[in-house]
Amino acid sequence: MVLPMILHPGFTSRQPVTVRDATSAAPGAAVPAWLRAAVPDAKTLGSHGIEDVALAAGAALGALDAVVRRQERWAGAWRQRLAVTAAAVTARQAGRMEDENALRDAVLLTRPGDDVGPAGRLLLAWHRLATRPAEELLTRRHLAAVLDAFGYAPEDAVVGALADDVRQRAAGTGTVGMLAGASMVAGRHGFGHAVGAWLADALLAQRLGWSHAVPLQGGEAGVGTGARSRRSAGSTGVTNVETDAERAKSLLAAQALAAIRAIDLSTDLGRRAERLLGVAPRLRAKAADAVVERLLSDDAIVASDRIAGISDRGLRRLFDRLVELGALRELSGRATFRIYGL
Amino acid sequence: MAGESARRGRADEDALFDRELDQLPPEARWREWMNRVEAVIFAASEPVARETLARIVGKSCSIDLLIDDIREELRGRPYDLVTVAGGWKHLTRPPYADAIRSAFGTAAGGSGRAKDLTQSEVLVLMCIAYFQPITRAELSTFFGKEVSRDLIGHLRGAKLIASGPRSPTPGAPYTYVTTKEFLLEFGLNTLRDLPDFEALEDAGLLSKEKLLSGDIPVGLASGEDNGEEQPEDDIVEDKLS
Repeated sequence: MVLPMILHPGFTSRQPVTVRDATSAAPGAAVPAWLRAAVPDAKTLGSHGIEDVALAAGAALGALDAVVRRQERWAGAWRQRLAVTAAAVTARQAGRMEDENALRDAVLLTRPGDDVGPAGRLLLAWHRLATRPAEELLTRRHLAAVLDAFGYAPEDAVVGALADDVRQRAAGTGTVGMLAGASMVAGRHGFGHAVGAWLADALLAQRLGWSHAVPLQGGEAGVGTGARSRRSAGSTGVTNVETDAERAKSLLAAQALAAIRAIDLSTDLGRRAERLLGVAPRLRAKAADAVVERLLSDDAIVASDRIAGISDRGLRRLFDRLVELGALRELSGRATFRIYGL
Repeated sequence: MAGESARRGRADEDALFDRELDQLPPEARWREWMNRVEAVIFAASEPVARETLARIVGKSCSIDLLIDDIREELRGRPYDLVTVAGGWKHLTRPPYADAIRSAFGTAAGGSGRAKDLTQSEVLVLMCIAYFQPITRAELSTFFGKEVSRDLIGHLRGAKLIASGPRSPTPGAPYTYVTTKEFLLEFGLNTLRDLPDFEALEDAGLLSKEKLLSGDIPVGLASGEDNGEEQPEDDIVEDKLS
């Protein structure tokens, strides 16, 4: 199944390759224009009725579901790139200055055994969401680790109560109630927007039966999720003037936007992955297959990453070659300490 | 004495020591690995690194999962296995800091470490806490004078800071980050508990770039001998008023 896909283009053509493979990046993957137009942004939200927003959100989720179910080989890279976006938004909401590149640096340039620091931990929290099996995410063990990564140090009793609350949300109400409940549950236990978003993404994945969660809500800066509302929600427990319907509407709009953003990224990454798989047969380096596999399953890697069968220098050369072939990008923009990804 | 026997003929023992425990059923094997790992961490005075633990369990064994299971069992105990400075260590839980402090007069079971810090060390430590990860060169730029290796070494030795990500600048210097021990030592639950941390967050002042370009208008840079209590307060008042 996998081999023919790699070998095929190499044998047939020398020109820039585009694999015509029914399963990858089918034209249907693109978001239809009507749907894109139907999703309101922060400014136009007020003029949309909740029914229309709900319709758009449902359609967007359906389209996203189709992408997830294709289980592309590059799905790992896709989810992890979304995790980086979510972490960057989370970091900004936490008042930190790290952008996506700085977050990657924090995690990738840390030697094993050293500490990635507070910003790196934010990325690891989203990374956990994107890489661990969805059904495990809401266990106490993962919740405790994630809360720690988000900079909280909850007592065990609090983690337990949170896990119970989340389980109730997962079992009960409809999907919108569940998603809205996630941030309420997080807020009730004294955790911020980021935790609510993380929980919502995990709950959604479980409800839709995905094997892995897709970081969606975390990447939406959203309305009323700035530092101030975080504080007031945490301290008073009373939300703003928003009614339930208003809150549901902005939640649905955020969900729709996030889904469309994720689909767009999947189209983009799908194309890049095709290009990488297209040149893969031409690579002579040892362990090139393993490197390609890593690139398809990770957001980014560095030359000092240990990949069995290839040396530091060999990996560096392979990266250079792939960049030359247009199959890989250098993400940091630096001349040294380079970071490569699709 | 356990240490002595370990030193005596390590090679022999390595050969004789049964890591894999193939004769045991899987649950019993896992249990035995958990016990070994916890025993080693308990007996050690320093945090125990992953490589060390890998020597006493089977090749297929995931240390992370083992540790997770051990920590699961420690739930409800006043201590926990914590990753500190690149290894694992038993540490008491933060809520018991008060009890320990009133028993010994210091936070860390009588070592009296906090008292050993000089004013300039505390200042550098606080700067690391707020602006981590940060390199020694960046600290030096900020303070307007060299922050010595010795000073960093002392903070490291006290396990208040640890190596963070390498900085992507020439020489790949280490950045420094604060440790869990730092939090314990200063009675903080998380970094959010640092004085005025949230106000600084909201004001967008937790920026190393701003710090280094001198955009943060505080008297910190004037030196280590005066005025180290006010600076954070100054920032906050500036921004809130």
